Amino acid sequence: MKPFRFLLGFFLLLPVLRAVPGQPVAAPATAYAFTLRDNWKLQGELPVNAFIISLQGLANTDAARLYLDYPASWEFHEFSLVKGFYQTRYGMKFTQLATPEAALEALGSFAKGYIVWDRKVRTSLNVAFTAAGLLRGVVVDESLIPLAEQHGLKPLADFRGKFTGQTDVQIYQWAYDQYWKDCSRDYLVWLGGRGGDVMEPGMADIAIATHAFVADLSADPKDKEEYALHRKLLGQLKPGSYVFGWHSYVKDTEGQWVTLTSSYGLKVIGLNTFPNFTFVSQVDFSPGFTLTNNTHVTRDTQVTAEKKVYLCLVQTDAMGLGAWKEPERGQIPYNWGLGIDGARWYPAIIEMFTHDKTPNDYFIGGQSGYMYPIATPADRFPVLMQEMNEQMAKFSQNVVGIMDYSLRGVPAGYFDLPKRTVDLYYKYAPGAVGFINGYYAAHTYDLRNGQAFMSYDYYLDEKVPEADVVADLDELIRLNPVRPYYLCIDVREWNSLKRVMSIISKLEEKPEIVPLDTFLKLAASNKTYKTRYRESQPGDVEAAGK
Amino acid sequence: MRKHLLVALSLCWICSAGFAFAGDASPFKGRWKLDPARSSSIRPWANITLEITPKGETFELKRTLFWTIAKQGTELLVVRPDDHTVTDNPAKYWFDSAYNNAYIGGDHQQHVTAGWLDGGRILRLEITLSLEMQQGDYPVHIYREYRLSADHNTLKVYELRSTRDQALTFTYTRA
Repeated sequence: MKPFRFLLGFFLLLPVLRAVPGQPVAAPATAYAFTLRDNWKLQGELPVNAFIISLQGLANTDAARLYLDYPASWEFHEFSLVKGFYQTRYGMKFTQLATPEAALEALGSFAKGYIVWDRKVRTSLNVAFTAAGLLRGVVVDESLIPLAEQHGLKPLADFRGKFTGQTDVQIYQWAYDQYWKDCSRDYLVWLGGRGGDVMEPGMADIAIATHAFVADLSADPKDKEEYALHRKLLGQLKPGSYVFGWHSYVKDTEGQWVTLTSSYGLKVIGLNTFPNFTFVSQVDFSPGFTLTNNTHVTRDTQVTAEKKVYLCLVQTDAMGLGAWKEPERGQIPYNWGLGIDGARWYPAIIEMFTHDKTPNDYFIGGQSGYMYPIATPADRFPVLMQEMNEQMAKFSQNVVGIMDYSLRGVPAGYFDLPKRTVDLYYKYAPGAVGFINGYYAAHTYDLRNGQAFMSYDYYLDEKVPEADVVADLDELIRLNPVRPYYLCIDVREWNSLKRVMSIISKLEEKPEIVPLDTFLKLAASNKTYKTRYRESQPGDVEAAGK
Repeated sequence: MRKHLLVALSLCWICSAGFAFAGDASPFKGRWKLDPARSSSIRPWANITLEITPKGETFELKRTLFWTIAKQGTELLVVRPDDHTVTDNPAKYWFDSAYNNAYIGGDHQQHVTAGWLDGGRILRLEITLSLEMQQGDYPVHIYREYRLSADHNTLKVYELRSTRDQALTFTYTRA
């Protein structure tokens, strides 16, 4: 009897012992796959796609079981390569499920029932995703009820007609009253993005798997009621929690939204279209792989800058936008943004991009990107910096990247940092080789204790003609006549390495291209830049807090 | 004969000046909109409008640069086209070559002298200002011409900056 009880207990506990999103383990040998349809209209194929994503959330709650093939037009289409990487690198085998019926046949046992959303009320789908996580049901519209019932699923909630004529805040308030008490305090999921008759709920799976509340409430203070409920939700999350997804493009701005989440000390991982989050967050690096960096200097290395222009090229969109796969990679020193969250939440994607790094590829760390340091409460900053330091050390990253977009509405100068924020970085990241700040060019510069704090001097827009970029850079070099001059460029989005190399070859004064850690050490060796911080401007987030 | 010559010269001067100086009747007056396809790159700005308002002996040149609805910039230059008066125009931001790390520096003003060329068909500006760069302030001289088409419906703006070896061209049409 005792062995039987032990076995029963073992099997009951099995899901607890297995993976959870954000704590990746060894890859499964097999998994299912399903191809989503390239139509996200409420009156189009969204119901089928939403149904399958909800099934993914249920099936992947404690293990990576279902992978979804997103259409080629999907925002993160470079990530689709990871499926092939799972197959070749991990030896994973996928069984393709051809129809929703086949998907339910294979994975329906993970659902306890179904939740019906109302195609006439867009927001009812977000409420349905919240309910799906708590009640463990798939999400269906009216047309898919027969399919669910054919597989023995029972109705758990029905939102048809329930929210007719109601505003978003009324609908979310109802969901709050009904479900919030049972929802996660570690995660919120923001399924914003495109509005109108289209919805792209790529991250609904993680909401269901983590029992998270789903919303797309406004972060614009002008929308008083939505903003108040938004803050009410954020204010009840535990310290160190995440907000997954993205803001609504029709309600507020990225800057408003991330400023608000940051003001509660929360980090964002986006976008709402991030595909297969429950899958990629539960599969660790392949056996034997370690993420390492090509560091060129240490904190104590001594270098001396010569009288020349030093050029540093940083691809802040990381490896996901094409340049990494180009044949020219490796020909010149190039720096790639690689925040610390990737290794935890999507290790295989990080491995896929970094496993073939060349000696000229250098990875920049940092906590920032979807966390604005100016808006972060003072009591949360040390904790976030401690986490950053520990994670960066694991991956031999020694440069901290920073971006803060909390100042909005002014036409220039909004990526500068006030002295109080610079002070915090110096205080809590004493081991870093240096700091690089900005997105657009910024004027925050400092040098303390051998750590240079530099900003980007140029934003390389892929849409500006090459001749104009050359003229811009020649002018910039002329406007900074003292040598050494430290010119760091933020290379954006789809700029190819070929274009970047062509631009550099045409510059009037030939620069020396160096990796970022070396660049910062050189900048620390001979200070030709002026110490400068953000000057107070209207709309500034002067004091972090709620 | 000499008297006739003086009268003729005076009339000539009055006519040429009159082309541009006629206050409300100045053909430069009005709201102009940039044609980006026929202009140097203005990114990250999406478009620019230029409002020219004659006011007595001065002209106001108000340039509004549009990025998004929420983000735009405005620059106002008040000039006196007499070839010698220097007008001082406060400037908060540097809008041109916006991807370059240049802020308005020095005394945060654009100092402008203006005059007419080619019988008043061309408004000429010479601007001095300081740009604040990574290494500190740097003096910049800008030469700019506003050239009006014969039908008064197209305004071409040519600009040369002392720091840039690339002439810039901006074509405006009436908004």
